[in-house]
Amino acid sequence: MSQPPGLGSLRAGKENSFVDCERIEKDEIAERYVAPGTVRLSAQEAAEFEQHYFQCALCFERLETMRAAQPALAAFAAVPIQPIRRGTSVRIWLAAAAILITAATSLTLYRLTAKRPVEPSSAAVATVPRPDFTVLARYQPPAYEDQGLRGAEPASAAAFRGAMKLYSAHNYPAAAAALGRIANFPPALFFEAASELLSGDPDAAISHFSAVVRANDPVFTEEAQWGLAKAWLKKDDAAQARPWLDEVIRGGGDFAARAHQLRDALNK
Amino acid sequence: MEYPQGNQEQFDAAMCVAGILAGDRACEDALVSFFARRIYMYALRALREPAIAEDVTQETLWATVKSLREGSLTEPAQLFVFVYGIARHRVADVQRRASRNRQDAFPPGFDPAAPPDRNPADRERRELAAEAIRQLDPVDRTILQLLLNEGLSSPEIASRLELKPDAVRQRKSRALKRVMEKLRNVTAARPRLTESGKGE
Repeated sequence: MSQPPGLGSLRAGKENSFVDCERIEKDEIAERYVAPGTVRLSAQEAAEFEQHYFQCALCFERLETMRAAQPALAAFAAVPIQPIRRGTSVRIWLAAAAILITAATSLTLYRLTAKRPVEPSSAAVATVPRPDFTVLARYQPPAYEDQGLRGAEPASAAAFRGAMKLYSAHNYPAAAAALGRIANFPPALFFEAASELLSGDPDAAISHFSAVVRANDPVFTEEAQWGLAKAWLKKDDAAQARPWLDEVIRGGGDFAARAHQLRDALNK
Repeated sequence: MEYPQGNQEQFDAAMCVAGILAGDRACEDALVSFFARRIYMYALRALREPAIAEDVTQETLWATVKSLREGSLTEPAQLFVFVYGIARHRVADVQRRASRNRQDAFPPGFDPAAPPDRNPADRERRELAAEAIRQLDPVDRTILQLLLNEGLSSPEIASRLELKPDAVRQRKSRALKRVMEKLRNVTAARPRLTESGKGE
């Protein structure tokens, strides 16, 4: 047989492979292989796994499944994930019971003390201060200059510049579409999300800003968190916006002061 | 020679190598069907550019077929590692060229307007996966999300979600199996091999 090229120390054949299906499953090698920022999988481990899935139908099928699932899973990751507490149902029932007892007690006291129920006037309802989400959700287009792109890569840079001409011309729907066609290029993903929010599509913006946050690129993370807060406000959902504002404040970056002001406004 | 198409479990390396040496085009098709997606997935992960990964896939397949026609591989059991080795070489070549030409805006033939996912089978696969994921239990979905998109391990997820590690593993396996079953309905796209090394 001719020498297989480029194999280095890798051994050939299923029976001689360093990794097998059991170890791949146990050490979650396939999961680590597809996950972004694969710093936890060494080059040697990756090469061994590649050699294995070139041969193993089951492991390759699992790998393809994981790859296919990633974009759909990203759409469900727009909100910070809370712990799923064991025994939650018991606590919920205890809390519900406490609320019921308190409500019953209050109702009894009210009936004993109230002379006549007073309906609130419409004028009084109108004067209850409520945050104006329309104003708070306003989103300034992130700054963009055609020189010194943040984290730019040569292969996609020209496509990115072309799409950003649309962005600079305030044609945000077209910019979002053009940026969406550029793969694996962090600036494109960030400005795609921004363009979607500026086009009035907060759901798409949430999905893509979330992907930027997950990528954990220090250049874009803070602005993506800020964008997420604004996108949730655009959907009139202050409860979802607050955790992202908290993240921006915790980060202490350029947007921290603005996030502080916005959170205070929401809390009024 | 009749060769089972599209069924990876029935792929027989010895039969394939012997068939290609004997000039059987059906065996070449079977080789392409078996390896094309594996090579593409490997190249895409290494190079992060779908168009270039497609080129590497075609070049690797063509180099493999040419070698097998010439009888370069004498141990058919080594076919898998042989193909992987060629793919590694092609990827390394691309990486070397890219590092030499960092100022180039585009690789030759790169079309910035072309969407990255041109393969209908890929789109179908993703759509079916999305459908399966929507039907998952929210906890299972969260586990997959943390595992595949955030790179956490099962013990880390268990800690974050306050679940037992075994429970996370079981939920993960069950959820992945459901998505996998859904994807088994995808009609495999038959890649075509051309001698120029470019796909049609």
